[in-house]
Amino acid sequence: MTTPAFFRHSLAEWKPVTAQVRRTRLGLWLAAIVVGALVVAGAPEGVFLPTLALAVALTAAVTAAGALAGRESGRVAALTLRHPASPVALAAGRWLGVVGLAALVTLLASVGAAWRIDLGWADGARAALGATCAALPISACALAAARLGGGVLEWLFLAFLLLVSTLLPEATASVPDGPLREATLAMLVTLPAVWRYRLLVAGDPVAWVHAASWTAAGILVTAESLRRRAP
Amino acid sequence: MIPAAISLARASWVGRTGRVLDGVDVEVVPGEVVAIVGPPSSGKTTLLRVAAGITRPHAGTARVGSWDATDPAARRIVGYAPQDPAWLAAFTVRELLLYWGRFHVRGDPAAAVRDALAVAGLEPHADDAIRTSDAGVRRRLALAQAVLGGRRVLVLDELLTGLDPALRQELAWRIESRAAAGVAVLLSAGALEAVERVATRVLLLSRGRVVRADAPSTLMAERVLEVVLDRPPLAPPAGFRLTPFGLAADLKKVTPEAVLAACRAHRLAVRASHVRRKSLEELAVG
Repeated sequence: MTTPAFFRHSLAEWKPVTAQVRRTRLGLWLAAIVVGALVVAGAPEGVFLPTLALAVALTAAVTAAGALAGRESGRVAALTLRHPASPVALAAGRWLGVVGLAALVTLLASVGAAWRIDLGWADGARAALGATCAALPISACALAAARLGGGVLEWLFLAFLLLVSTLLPEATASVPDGPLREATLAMLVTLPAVWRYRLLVAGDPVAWVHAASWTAAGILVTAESLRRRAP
Repeated sequence: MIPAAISLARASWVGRTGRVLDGVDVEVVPGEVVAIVGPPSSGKTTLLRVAAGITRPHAGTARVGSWDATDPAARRIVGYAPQDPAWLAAFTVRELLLYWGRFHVRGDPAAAVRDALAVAGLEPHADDAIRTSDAGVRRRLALAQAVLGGRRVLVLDELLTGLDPALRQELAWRIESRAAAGVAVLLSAGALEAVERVATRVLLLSRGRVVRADAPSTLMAERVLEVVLDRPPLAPPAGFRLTPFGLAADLKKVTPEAVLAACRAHRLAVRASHVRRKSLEELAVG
């Protein structure tokens, strides 16, 4: 497949993305995430905008990935592959769709939250940019998780991201020596993790290499899963 | 001699439960409609999947034109309608075809979609939501997505099965029209009636083997005389076989009168008799 055809086929995936947002519950769920973020932003104890934006981006990415890579959508993709499309182009297109939705939701939520806590729209946009960078590898991995393990694996992944992966590896020093500490440390260092992807927006090269690797892995696993799904 | 558009040679396929296809030979030339007919689990869907290049035969070859059937280049010319297709319910009929059209056409695929809608007779339903569309529209949509992009080979799995006669006749006419335009069509059905109108040749599949190949009219003309007897014999006379109610005889070379005369000659008291068409299983055993 030529490079222009690859991009054309990837961009074709935007059509089912927009149709699902407009005509299925996905649109409602994404709207609920924005509203939820605005409610949290209005809490009297205050909120740290980049953290809120990150939580919104990851939740939106996982939600969109679940809708765009679910079982029925996989069956449609299998039929799509009877047309001259490559599974990698489809997976890349879906990844772009998930990232696009996560970015849009994050931007709306961040700018709205910034306005609620008396910050400028530029602060909201900056927080959204940082969170969207983190959503790049997370979207790819969420797609793969949705394809391989369905909703359960996907939401476990989100729980890991929001509850565990925010910790720095140094935090494991408080865990007693043993397999648990080793396993936690290994997960924080190797798996997609919020602590690392916070550094993306600052241009940290290690974080970018890590993110690029997981993005490629997530897209390739999704593509392979789609390829194996025969009509 | 016209080169075959689809060509399976000694194709075998082994599944978890055993051999699904066993040395099948199939050739379909452009303009021909070949129907694979057989009882459930006879290997029809697997044969079509091999022909469409979805799965590779474990032995033998499957070719589309000059390509191996699994070659990505073959996908440009092979349109496949699965038995149980999945549709993205959020789309309308036109939107779904436009989505798939983008994989075929650089730029605006509107013309290709218009053609596919016309071939399947879907123009009045083009803006119907798939979520609320009926089975007839969905079956037409299966045909439309298969022909999308001007495919020269169509592989249609049970497309004409389970439809009301009017719709079946209309879709059969639409498939015939594609064949008349030089498209090679391979389709499957669980009953001869579904393909009698459209098929130029029927391959009877039984336990993964092609057991008969004939024109549908020849197969449908084969008859059996069933004879209900007062007291069925312990062993059937020559040319007969036992049934729960008496005897049955093929009417391939004899008349019903001759069969009844044979019953009288064997002193069998005939209570009733009737002629019926052969079932698929009877056709398969010859």
